[in-house]
Amino acid sequence: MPGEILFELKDVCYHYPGGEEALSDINLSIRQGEKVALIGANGCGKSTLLNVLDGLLFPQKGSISSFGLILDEKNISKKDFNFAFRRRVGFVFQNCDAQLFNSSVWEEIAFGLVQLGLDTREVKRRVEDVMSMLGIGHLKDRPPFRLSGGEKKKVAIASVLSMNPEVILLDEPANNLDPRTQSWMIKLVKQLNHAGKTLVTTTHNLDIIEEIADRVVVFSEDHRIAAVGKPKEILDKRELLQQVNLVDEQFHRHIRDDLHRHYHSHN
Amino acid sequence: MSTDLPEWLLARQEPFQHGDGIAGGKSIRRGFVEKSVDSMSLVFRESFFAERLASRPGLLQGIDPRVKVLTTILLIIVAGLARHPTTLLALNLWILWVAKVSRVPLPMYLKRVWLAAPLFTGIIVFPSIFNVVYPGDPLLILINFSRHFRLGPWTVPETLAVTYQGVWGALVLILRVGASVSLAVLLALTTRWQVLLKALNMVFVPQVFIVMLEMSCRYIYLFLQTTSEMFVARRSRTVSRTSTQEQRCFVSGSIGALWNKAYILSGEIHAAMVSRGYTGTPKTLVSFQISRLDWLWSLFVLAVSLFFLGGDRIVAW
Amino acid sequence: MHIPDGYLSPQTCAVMGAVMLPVWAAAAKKVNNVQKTKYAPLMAIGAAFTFVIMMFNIPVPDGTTAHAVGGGLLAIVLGPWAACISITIALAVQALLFGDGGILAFGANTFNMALLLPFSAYYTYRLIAGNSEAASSRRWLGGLAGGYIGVNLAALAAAVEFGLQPVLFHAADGAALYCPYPLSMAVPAMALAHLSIAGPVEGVITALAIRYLQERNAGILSVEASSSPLEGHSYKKLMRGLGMLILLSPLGLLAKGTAWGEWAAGEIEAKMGFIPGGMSSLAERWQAPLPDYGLPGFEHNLLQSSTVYIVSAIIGLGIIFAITYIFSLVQKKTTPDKT
Repeated sequence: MPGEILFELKDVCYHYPGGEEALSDINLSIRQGEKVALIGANGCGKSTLLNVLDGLLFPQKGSISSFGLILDEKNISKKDFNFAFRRRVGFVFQNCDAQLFNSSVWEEIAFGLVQLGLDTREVKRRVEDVMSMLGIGHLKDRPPFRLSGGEKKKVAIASVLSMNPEVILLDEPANNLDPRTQSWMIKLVKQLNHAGKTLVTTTHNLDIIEEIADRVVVFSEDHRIAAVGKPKEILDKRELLQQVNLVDEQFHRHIRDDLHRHYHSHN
Repeated sequence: MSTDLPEWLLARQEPFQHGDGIAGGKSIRRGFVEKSVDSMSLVFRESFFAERLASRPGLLQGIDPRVKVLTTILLIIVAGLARHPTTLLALNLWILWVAKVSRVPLPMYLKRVWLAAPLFTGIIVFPSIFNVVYPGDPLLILINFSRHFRLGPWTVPETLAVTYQGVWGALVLILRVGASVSLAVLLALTTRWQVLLKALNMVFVPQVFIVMLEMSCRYIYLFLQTTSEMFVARRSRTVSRTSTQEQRCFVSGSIGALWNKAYILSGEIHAAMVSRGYTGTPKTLVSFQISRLDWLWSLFVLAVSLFFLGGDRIVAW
Repeated sequence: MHIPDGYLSPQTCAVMGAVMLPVWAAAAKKVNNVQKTKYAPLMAIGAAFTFVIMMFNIPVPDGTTAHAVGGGLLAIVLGPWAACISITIALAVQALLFGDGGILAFGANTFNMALLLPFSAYYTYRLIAGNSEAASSRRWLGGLAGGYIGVNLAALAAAVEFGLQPVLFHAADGAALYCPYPLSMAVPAMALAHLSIAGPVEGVITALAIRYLQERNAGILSVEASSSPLEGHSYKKLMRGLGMLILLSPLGLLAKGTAWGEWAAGEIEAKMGFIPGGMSSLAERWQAPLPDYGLPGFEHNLLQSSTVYIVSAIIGLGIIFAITYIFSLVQKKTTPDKT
């Protein structure tokens, strides 16, 4: 169900101020209503790409457009564009401790809404709604340091969802979560996608990509796109996955039954 | 597993003997690691305690935080201006009463207040009660030297005595420090910290400072967790005694490592803020409601202040 | 070095606070101009960092421990203006939430530890490190000297603040009202402790931390330099003005014989050329209870009898206690916790 193009990247290159390469020659478009997974070994640049998509880092070479407008430093510093862009694109960071910078859960979820200038009643309504939707109402007054890892992740997601973004960028959302929270997360991703949200997720957990993506972008270790395809196609290309260093030679694909597949490596 | 384990990793340690450590070895003195971890965990304990107390029903808990901030400052000024021990004693008693009706557990509260700053103050001012340090009229003569003598730049008086002025001054100082600390501690104990910081905009603290205060509070906990882990990890790996120099290197290494982490984190936080629409001027929702009771309480505290200061001026002159 | 409330007279505290107001305003403007949207998170993290550093117990040769401030290190990596703001925030957290350092004495504490300490540490560091490479040993030597000098200057300032109290404020019979030690005792006592222990600790810790950063992440040492806003005319002018203000405000007034901190707002205006914001309202608050206090309706000869004092004082106290109790009763009936 691909809709209009929301993001279009042309020959995007990015290197960090120290000169360290993070993205080279990235050509990619993301359409309305898609679920895209970015996979690759650690340090391949997939998180950097999310930062570029969120208008936090700006490529030195190449161009990026979002919602039909050029996304660059000059445009995003304009108040109207910034406002329109920020409320449409939400980013759930990998490091919850960086994302949860407010002193209580309630304020965390309200932060984005207050910055966007919503009136008090609307802020309160949305915060209450999101908290009850994710089942975190009882955490309302808790400071972030008294939350468990799973709770932190839920609050981080709530803080983004409250802004009702059209595109949600998720950086390693399933990392460090217990199995139960992980499957909760997968269910949420699917649910949001059904509601018409566009989702871009980075992961190196091959177990979940069939569920969280209908298109997979594979990054090589030299920060380029090695392949793009449907999850099943990608998972079947063992040499490709080995070549980008995501799996080792012992990698197996077990088929326990038709519904549940399981990937892992062992001796 | 493709990598081969080195041989020493396969060898087993000798079985644990009864003589090991318990009977023979010297017990290790509580070192800087324990002290640091202790002072860090104290911060956590304090904040848990404050949060619990702040949600109890009680006098101060019910007062609007902004009113509380202003009245606390007013009362600390009163303590600062008071010059007579009796006034300060009465003020201290009243503060204690306020603590009591605010359902602050008194033994803990008294320990928290009086075992810290006032006790320390007592030690500091102790020398000043003697006439060799602070001149005054003798109250109690300890030694009679029967003649003047000089010791370098100092002239030692004929007698060593506790002076009236010295004792008076020491009493005033200790009682005043006690009252001021009690007031500050009471404010922190009966208000949820997030709310307390927000209330500062009443005393002309700009919004951006309040936001920074809240954020730094939030990250203090993270850094305390991180560093306690570093310190505990070190303790678990410390087998023998280490030299002071090595210990200092460890501490400053931790400081360097913490700064590295902190700096990277500040960049990530910045990204997370900008991503959610932050443009450099923080906006916050503040919804305080000042009730009639808050007004009455402010007036009452004002009256109390006048009573104490008035009384002080009458008895002191 | 955290001065609790009670040691300094409210008048001294007001002056120190008034001195700090323009400093904070200048610092906020400076850092905001350079860091833009990064300003708030960077300063907050810097504050949290200093707070945690102050919790570290550092072993000293005699077997005991001391603690560092970390202000010198922060000034070196972030620049003195940023360090000023971060340390101010850390001290505010300590004073407000932990009762560590006074609320009225906040101006004095920040003057010592958030202004004198980082600025002196930074310029000492700059003087020694110069334009040397990030890996140069001049860097950590600069840190060593900077930390040492910074802490000692801050302690000296605290000692002077203490030492002025008995000169300026004492009861009619000579009893001290605030800190009892005159300059001749306060300065040597503070100097002894800080020249021998706290100063070396701060210096050594700063130097070692810089060496750690040089080895692991030299880039972080040039953060301050690459974003340095600190050269240029307006800055120098401001520094000169600040220096003058700091040096002249207490000394000039002492020489004139007016008690420190008890100037009328007009007098301040004449001396400084402006009235620091907030000062005028503060001044009113202080003057209100002071002048010629007397209870109307009471005849002087009636007040001669001390029993009247005692009885009325006790009755007054009783009423105050009772009203306080009534407040707590009313409070329990209304909302138990409001935010």
